[in-house]
Amino acid sequence: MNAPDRNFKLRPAANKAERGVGARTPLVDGIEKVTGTARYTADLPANGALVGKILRSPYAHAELLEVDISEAAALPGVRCVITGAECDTPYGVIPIAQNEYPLARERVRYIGEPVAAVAAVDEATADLALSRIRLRVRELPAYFKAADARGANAVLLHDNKQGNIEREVHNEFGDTAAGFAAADLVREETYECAEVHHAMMEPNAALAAWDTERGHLTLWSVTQVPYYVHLTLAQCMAMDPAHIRVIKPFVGGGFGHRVEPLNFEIICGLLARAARGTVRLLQTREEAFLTHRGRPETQIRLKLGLTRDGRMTACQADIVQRGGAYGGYGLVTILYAGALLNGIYDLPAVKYDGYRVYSNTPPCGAMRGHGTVNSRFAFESLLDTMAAELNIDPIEIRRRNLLRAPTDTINGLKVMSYGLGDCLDWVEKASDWKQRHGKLGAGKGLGMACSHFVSGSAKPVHFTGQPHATIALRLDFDGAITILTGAADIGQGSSTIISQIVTEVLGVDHRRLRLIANDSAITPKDNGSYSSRVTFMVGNAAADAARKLKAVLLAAAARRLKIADAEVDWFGEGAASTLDPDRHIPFEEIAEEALVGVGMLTVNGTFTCPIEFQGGKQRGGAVGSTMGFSYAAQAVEVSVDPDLGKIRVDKVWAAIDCGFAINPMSVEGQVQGAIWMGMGQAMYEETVYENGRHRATNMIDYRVPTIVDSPEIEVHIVESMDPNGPFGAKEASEGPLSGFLSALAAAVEDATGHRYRMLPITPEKIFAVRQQQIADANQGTAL
Amino acid sequence: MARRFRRLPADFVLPAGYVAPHIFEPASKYEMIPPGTVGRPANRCEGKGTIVKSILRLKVNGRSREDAVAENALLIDYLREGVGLTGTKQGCDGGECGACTVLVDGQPRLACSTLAHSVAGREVETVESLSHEGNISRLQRAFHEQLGAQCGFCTPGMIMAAEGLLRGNPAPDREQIRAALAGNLCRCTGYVKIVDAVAAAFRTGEAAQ
Repeated sequence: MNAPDRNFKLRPAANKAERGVGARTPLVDGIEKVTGTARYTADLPANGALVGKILRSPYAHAELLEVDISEAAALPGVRCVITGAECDTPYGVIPIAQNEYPLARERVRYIGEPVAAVAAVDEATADLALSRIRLRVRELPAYFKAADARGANAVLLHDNKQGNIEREVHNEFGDTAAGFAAADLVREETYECAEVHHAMMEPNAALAAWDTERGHLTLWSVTQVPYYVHLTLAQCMAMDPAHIRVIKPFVGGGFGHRVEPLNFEIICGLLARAARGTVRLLQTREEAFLTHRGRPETQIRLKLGLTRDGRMTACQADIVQRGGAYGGYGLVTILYAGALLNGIYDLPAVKYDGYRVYSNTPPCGAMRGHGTVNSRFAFESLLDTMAAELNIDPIEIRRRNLLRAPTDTINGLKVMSYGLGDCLDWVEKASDWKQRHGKLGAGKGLGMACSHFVSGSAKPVHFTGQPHATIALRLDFDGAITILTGAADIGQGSSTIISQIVTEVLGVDHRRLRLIANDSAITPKDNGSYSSRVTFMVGNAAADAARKLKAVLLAAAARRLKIADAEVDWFGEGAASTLDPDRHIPFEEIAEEALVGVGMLTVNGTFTCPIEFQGGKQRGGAVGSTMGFSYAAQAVEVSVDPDLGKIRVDKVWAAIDCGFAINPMSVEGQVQGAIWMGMGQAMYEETVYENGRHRATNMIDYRVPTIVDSPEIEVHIVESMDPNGPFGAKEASEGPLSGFLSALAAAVEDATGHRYRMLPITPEKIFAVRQQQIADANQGTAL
Repeated sequence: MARRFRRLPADFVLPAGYVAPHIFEPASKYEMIPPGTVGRPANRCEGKGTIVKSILRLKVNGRSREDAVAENALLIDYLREGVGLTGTKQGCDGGECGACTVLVDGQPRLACSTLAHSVAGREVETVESLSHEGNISRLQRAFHEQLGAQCGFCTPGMIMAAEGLLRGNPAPDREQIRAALAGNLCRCTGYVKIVDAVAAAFRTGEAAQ
């Protein structure tokens, strides 16, 4: 698998460490992480920086009549106090749905919305200044549930959105009426999923330096998409983007929280300009919860038709998401929820009605498995319930509905590679499904489910005509190859994957490579780390760049050896003549030759998803479109203590079709992390609003699973070799999440006899059902 | 300064006779929260100017130090802002996540919930102390090679908690590893490869002996 596969004569030591594709190499930035030398935003030297702080609204919904900052601004040590007056340009990640201001203007719409901000010489002074800001407001009725916000006389959160509905989606593909008519079994159920939050380990932070003489801004931030932050700063600060530099240092996770430009980043820039200096804005954990952008509370009404032998005939879904106070990624989330009902099974007809509703809670947004997770929970759950009615094994019924790649789905998505069948086979075998499902005895259960996700949204958010991914390779006199990329490594390992791909194509010693990422002054623009696009798109761009550089080097080697290009035998660390292997030169000479007359070389590699992959013609058809879907199947084994209502996940077996594992260890890590995050949502995590006030804004009340709660997760990699992915690779880190939810519900049903349709499945819910079961049993005895 | 912060208890009510420092119109139908941001008592910071510093003597990563440190300073702020050791991370608002775990006299402690002066005269070790003569420690190597770190933010605390475990129990089983790391949250790995890494580290130790 790793190049070169021949015995290397020139430098025997050079290729000892194989770091090409397919290798289980550690992260290229792993040493920094384990030694504590990795600098995250809060770790950056900020001597003399002002301390930024944000005043947040204590009102869920109110007209802002006055924000009096006079007393705060007059305090000694306060350099500036800013309010909504500082920025009158709304922002938002989706160009057609921008309705949020970095600091509230005229109205506040959730408890925790930024109202004012200060920069002061120290933290105590900043705190004092916040306490001296006076708000005068007129309170408005507030809505904390989607149903209330949709009420007939509800006050509108945004005047242009009737019924407080941000986006309605109605579409039908195939003939659902005919499908249901042809079905032997039709069932309809309601499912509910609580709102969840990313809770990435690194709290939010930004550092902004304003260069007063030049009018330039430099911002360091925790973002997943520095490019969006850059554009948003320019927009909200009315600056020329050329005068802005955005740098992403090490980032401690994101999971979607940071795919949108966030208010604190813009506020930090505004503060730095107003204070004419450098401002460090560190956010508390509570503020991360209030900035939110998590997975919305969702109600799903799902109807499914099956033939007697378990073939799907039609599906109808009605989905309501409580989106929070602003647009954010909302319209994409509600589109995803419907679009990705397709693409995993052979489903001939789907009718979808989706409603994204505004509410006076922190804005929701993208979170790992964007939009698809709760729909998948409902779909897999109902499929299980109906399979039981038809007396078909859960794995078998899924097998009967597999797709055959390549194929187009009814809503115009392309499935180019499909390893779900192999995933099912492995999970069935590894979990000893046939012998153990339904036979583990009381209190023990086994359940399974499937899931999928896109490898990058094929249509970018901004139409620019530029490639969807660009990477540059730089070669200079020292013979080092520098990879310049805008792809944001937020812990998922994109820098490692890119390095492996370049190593593989060039065949050079991996130590010859260095990688510089995410400095807008140096690295090419990248659309960012979202929708699992980086391995697929940036990986392809990296391979393209490496091939181009290799061509240049090959030509240089030919010149130096005075032979034809076709005659060059490329070793990576050197080259020789195929006709006369004794005539060879090392890399240094090739590099030297390549620079003659041109100096430092930079080659660009690019990748663009062809138009035919960019989705159906329908409105919103681009959402869900991708060049490659990942597929996953998983089995979950649980023990349930019916009296305490406590679930213990004993073991998870997961198989992932990631096309090709560029780094199998990394794939395992991503799959384990995704499944575990699904476990958090399925069993523990839930935001709690009381009168709009978030009651779980810490890592204890917002119950993230600990290492003690967490099971062993065995991962098996299925390689379907996608025709378009780099070396056949697809995504691996979002798809496996959504399967866990219904696999757990199925395992709990296997253990207790009850199917839970509301997430999270907490001990309270299990206890209540148990009490009901006992009461029913007693009543039965009495009768 | 790090994000120090006190949460109001869930049953927080304002004291009788409290006059809000801002004007409501009309009277709030919700509980009244001082506008020092949500849940943050506004008068917490009124003590400005009363910060008293005194000399703190202790050992940090094997070196004796004498610093003038505010008496109310937290150990994490002293380490990060005072000594410049930013390897120790703050991941929460106090005592929730374990990212700030350091060793005090060999025992894991949360630096975010420890007053700097309370460790006077003692020996504090942070993640920066584990490498010797440029060689990373067996735990660091295992976390690196087994992918025990993804985003890396919980890693320093995780490694220090594991270091504390291995010093007391050189050959823990997987359950003991899990128990020792129960106070350290990670959001990336699902913990599987963290357990793998600690297990691999102690096996490395065995081989070395």
